[in-house]
Amino acid sequence: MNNTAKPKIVCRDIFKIFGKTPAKALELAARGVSRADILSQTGNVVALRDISFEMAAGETFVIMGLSGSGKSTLIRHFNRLVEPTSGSITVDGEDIVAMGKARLREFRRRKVSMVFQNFGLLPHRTVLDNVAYGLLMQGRPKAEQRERAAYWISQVGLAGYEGHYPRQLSGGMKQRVGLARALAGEAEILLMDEAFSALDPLIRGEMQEQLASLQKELGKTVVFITHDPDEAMLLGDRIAILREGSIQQIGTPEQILLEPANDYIARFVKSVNRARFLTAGQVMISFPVLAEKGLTREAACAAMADSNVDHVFVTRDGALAGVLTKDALQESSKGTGGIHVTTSCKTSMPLEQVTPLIARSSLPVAVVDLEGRVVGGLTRAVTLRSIGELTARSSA
Amino acid sequence: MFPELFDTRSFREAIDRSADWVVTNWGATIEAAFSPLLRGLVLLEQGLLWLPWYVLIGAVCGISFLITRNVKLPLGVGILLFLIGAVGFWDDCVRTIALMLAATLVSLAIGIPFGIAMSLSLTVRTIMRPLLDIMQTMPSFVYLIPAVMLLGPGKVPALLATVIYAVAPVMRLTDLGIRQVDPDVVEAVTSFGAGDWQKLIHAQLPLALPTIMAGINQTMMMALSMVVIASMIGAGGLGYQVLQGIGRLEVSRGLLAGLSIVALAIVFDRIAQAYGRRMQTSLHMNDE
Amino acid sequence: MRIGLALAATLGLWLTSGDVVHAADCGSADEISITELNWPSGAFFANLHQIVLSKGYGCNATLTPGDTASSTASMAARGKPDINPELWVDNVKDFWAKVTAEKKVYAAGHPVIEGGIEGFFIPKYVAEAHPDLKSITDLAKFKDLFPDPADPSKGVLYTCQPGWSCEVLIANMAKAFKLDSTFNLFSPGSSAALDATIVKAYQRKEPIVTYYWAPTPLLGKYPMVRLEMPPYVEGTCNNDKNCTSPKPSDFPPGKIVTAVSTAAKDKAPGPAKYLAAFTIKNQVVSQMLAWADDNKATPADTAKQFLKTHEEIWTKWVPADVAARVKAGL
Repeated sequence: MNNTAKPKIVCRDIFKIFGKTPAKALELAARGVSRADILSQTGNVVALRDISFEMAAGETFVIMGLSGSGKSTLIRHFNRLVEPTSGSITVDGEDIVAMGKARLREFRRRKVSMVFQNFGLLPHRTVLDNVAYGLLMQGRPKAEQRERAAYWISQVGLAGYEGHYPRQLSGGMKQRVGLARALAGEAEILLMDEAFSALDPLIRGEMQEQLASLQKELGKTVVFITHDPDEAMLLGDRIAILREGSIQQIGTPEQILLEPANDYIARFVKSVNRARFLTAGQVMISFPVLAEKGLTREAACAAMADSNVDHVFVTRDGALAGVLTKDALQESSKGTGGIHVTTSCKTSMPLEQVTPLIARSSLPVAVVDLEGRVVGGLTRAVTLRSIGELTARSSA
Repeated sequence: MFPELFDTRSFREAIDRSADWVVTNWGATIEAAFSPLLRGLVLLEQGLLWLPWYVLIGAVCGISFLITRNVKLPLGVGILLFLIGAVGFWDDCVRTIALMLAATLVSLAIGIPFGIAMSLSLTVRTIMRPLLDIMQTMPSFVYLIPAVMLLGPGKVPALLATVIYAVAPVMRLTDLGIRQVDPDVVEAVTSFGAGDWQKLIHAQLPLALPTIMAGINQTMMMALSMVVIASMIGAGGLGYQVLQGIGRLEVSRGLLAGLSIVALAIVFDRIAQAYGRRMQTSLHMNDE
Repeated sequence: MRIGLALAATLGLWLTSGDVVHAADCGSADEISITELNWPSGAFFANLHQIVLSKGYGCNATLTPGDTASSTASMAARGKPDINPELWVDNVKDFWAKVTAEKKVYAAGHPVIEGGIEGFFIPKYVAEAHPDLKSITDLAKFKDLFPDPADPSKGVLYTCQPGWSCEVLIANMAKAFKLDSTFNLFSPGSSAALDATIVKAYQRKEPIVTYYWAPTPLLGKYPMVRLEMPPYVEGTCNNDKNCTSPKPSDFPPGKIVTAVSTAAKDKAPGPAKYLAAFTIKNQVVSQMLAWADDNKATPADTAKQFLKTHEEIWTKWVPADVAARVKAGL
């Protein structure tokens, strides 16, 4: 993700009203009248309210919300399957709301492709023809259509199924066809509307991995809709949380997990397997780090007292040598009581992988950066609290 | 006794006078405009009559074999057609088939485009629905006799009457079929930049085809059910035999001719159904 | 009312001669049903009977809609309806032979004095434009005047309704008059369609040659000329579908009867006498029907109009007291 580049997609003040008198409802919605009140007063449904955000090229932007939150409506604004009631959407600086019919078709053919929850495959066409559909729309020569379609079919792992019909495939295979169809046209923007929600968990995991690895190579701008927080955390560079048509928070997965903007979000992400998404670097606390050379009992005691901790990491030639404990210092009347060897982990290591290290010893685990410098540590208490933090907070 | 609120005589006279006016001033033009249709109908009928009976039966059996790849349907169809010939109604049967096929083709040519328009536009649907109800319930003779005054008796008004009556199912079911197409598929096609026409050709029509096929089948059946009415304005065919049977109080003739119409209906219904099933399989839509 | 009836009955007794005690009432018949035929003259006769029988004789006279086929079938099977006011005997030969032999039905009288007229007609304007076209034997020369739209190399001769006897008769006549090589016979399939065909031709002043018959409103309204035919020959096989050597011959004189069930005759001798006397000239019938057409009158209106304007005809059919009651009832 490149923050200095111009944003790929910009949404400004999008409102979407479903109903017969959108103008009236729009006015009320802009004044902040609640969704229920607008419905009872005007009979119109406010699907989206005051949505504004930017998306960088190459970013995977996840829009998360429960059903009815407006997330499927929102994603359809990016290829104008749904028209906004007011507001603007620009892609690469071009206002897509202002596009005429022909320009819009061209935009859909070249710039943006979509993967659907229920696949949306043409049942009477083969896998090959389905995957080639976007290429057909682009008007590419027949031979090129077939060649590229075959390539993408093999990329999603369906080589050999070119001549099959959708009904002969399992759900996961159908969605691979849907993905291949979306990728084959080489559009820069990929819209994925609950693309994996209809699949069973095992297949869903596979598909998520496949998307992540493809994305690493392709670097597309992905808008991904899901109601599954785990999926959002796993795939999203940033996550927007939508509730009743309004954005509650936009942030990185860590921000959402660690600094939920409100109770709703906290409850929403409660079920997330935090150990999988939080890293050692994110939850570590700082410990004094002292060089072994010239280390004195007094210096160690002072460092512990300063930092109000019971341990000090000791380095030898810049690398981790071990840890001094307060207990050991107190037991031996002089000297440091000896350096205990302890393990270390990288800042990027998920807590999921840290926990076994913590479990094996009562000593804190050192957290080291890429150069091997000790930047902090994790105690059992800190780690477990981080994993269980939200549970504790929401029950408090 | 219902009170006579206004005198309908002058009103009716006005209608009659305007009908007369149309017949007098436009009749010849309208009749001339329809004469290519008449020539086509005569040609179709003569063509079918020119074929030896065994060739025609063989052709129908052959078609049904190609559809089902099974001998049961061709055998049944062949026997029924043979029986119609055996009771002496072969030529009338061929005339009826010719009229029915022509009426079905015309109905499809009108019904499918209108059905598509109905499915796409609420306005068209709102206008067409009551019109279709009228077309299906209005007793045919009400418009048949004016049609005879305009076009003369014979195949053309018979064809028109049959089309008016039989066009409704294919129109309604085309409309229904397209509106029932999985919206996800249509949306997907749209998202890849398909225009309205491409949406129709790539997704809506092929997916609606089984429903449209059911409509075509019903249209064919309704066209057959009009043969007696059609004969009452000079279309000939099996309906004429029924009328003769009635006129002469020959129960047997009426019954045999009536049964022949039923047999024809079975033949075409079964062939159309088998074709519908085959198409559904070849479209790979059974499980979707 | 009852006293009035009794008085009338007495008067009737006094006025009529002979032994008919009940000549002026309905006898023992509970109900006399009349077929209201679905063509104008048939419906007109039926309504006339209904008015005279109910007003004049105090019968419970009812109208049942029907056509020749349904009413004859019902008469043969159930003996009802009691009266078919206009039965073209030749069109239902077999039926007629059977029911009269069984004495279920009898010919009470002849509603049309001259009988029915059948023939090939051309519009008056065609006759005037083509004075050479006078007879059926001239027709072959004029085939191009009446082209068949479905087969323009031949002329078209509109024939009669499916199942009527005239259908076979005309087919044989076409052979006998050697018209089969120059003309196609075309049946319009129903009376309504045949009428519409003639009206169409008339309104556009197109030539047409067609089978038609009288009494009918159509012939009262549109002047048509009957093509001359050679005299009627008895004993041809022209009536037979399998006739191998048809002979040139006119249509047989159209025998139209008032067909009445024998049961009704026995129960209601008074009305039976009336039905026997009932007869009207062809021209008068056609005039009445044309009047009805022009005034959009119902058959009942037409019957009343006739009773009002043609007293000189109908008072001869009934005793004076009956006539008085009919007049009073109008």
